[in-house]
Amino acid sequence: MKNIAVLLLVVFIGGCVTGAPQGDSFSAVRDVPQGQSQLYLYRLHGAVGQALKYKVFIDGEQKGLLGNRGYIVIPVSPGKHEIELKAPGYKKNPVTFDFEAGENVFISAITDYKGGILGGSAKVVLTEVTKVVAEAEMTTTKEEI
Amino acid sequence: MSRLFLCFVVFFGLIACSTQPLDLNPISNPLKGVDTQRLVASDLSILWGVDDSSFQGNPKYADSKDAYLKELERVLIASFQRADVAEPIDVSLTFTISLYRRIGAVQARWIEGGGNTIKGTAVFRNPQDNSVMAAYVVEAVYGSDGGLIGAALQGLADTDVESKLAEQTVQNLRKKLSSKR
Repeated sequence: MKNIAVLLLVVFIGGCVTGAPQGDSFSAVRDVPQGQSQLYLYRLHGAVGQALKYKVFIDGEQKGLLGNRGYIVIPVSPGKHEIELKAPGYKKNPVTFDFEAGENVFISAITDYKGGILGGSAKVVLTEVTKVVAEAEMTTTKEEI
Repeated sequence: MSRLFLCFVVFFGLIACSTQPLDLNPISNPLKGVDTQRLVASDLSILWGVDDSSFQGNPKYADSKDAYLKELERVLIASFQRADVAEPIDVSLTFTISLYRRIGAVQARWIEGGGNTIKGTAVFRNPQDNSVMAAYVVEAVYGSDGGLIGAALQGLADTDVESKLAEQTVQNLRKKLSSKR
């Protein structure tokens, strides 16, 4: 009985860290902080894992959470950085991107799910996109706060 | 005792979750309830957002791209710049193409899952203050419908992929506009 109670507790707490971004809708790209580079990471609406917020890691350090239809802005130092989005049960798929000083880097996160007889597998695919595309697609998203 | 404990867990779990609502089924159509047939784009633009530098110097790709853009403009104008709309709602429409995957018509019929895929975002703005009214990501796919020989024959006879992709792009946008969800 206690095991069930613990399970329920875990499930409910797990449920509480999910949800949609609560910030403002995207309106315009911000200026890059002096001497820095800036990451715009966004996630379009997707059916798979939509209740999950993905943990955003840069060089192994968690920087925030990214929900369905959300975007997050993270200042980063110029140079190469490994970015990875993690969620329970998802395959690892880190990608290294090059950041130049004074520039924004726009990355789209898409959940790739492959079904199977014994259960499917999911991973988050990160793709760098042009500013034009990011500005259009992020219009459908809200900022993570 | 353990039942009491279980009740507490469920009770407080539910309260906690009610403070952070799950968005399992978000409203995906901001124009739900609007007669979207009344939307008339006084300002209409198509932006190319695809990084296709690796295709530079490929005349076949350039021809396909030009043909698609012309067709898309034609279909968007036919759909969103009609003069016969009663009580038009003035909008500014920008369509940004983010994915353009193009192969031949024959191959497209062989390859399941859409050898030819277009993805773009349509952003509708209020021209008065430039505020976003709605934005939709749409896709168009032209691909296999089975049978190798039949597919090849179909592909050879049916080469006007650009206009089909353009029409499907706008049809899918219309579907999203009229979605009740």
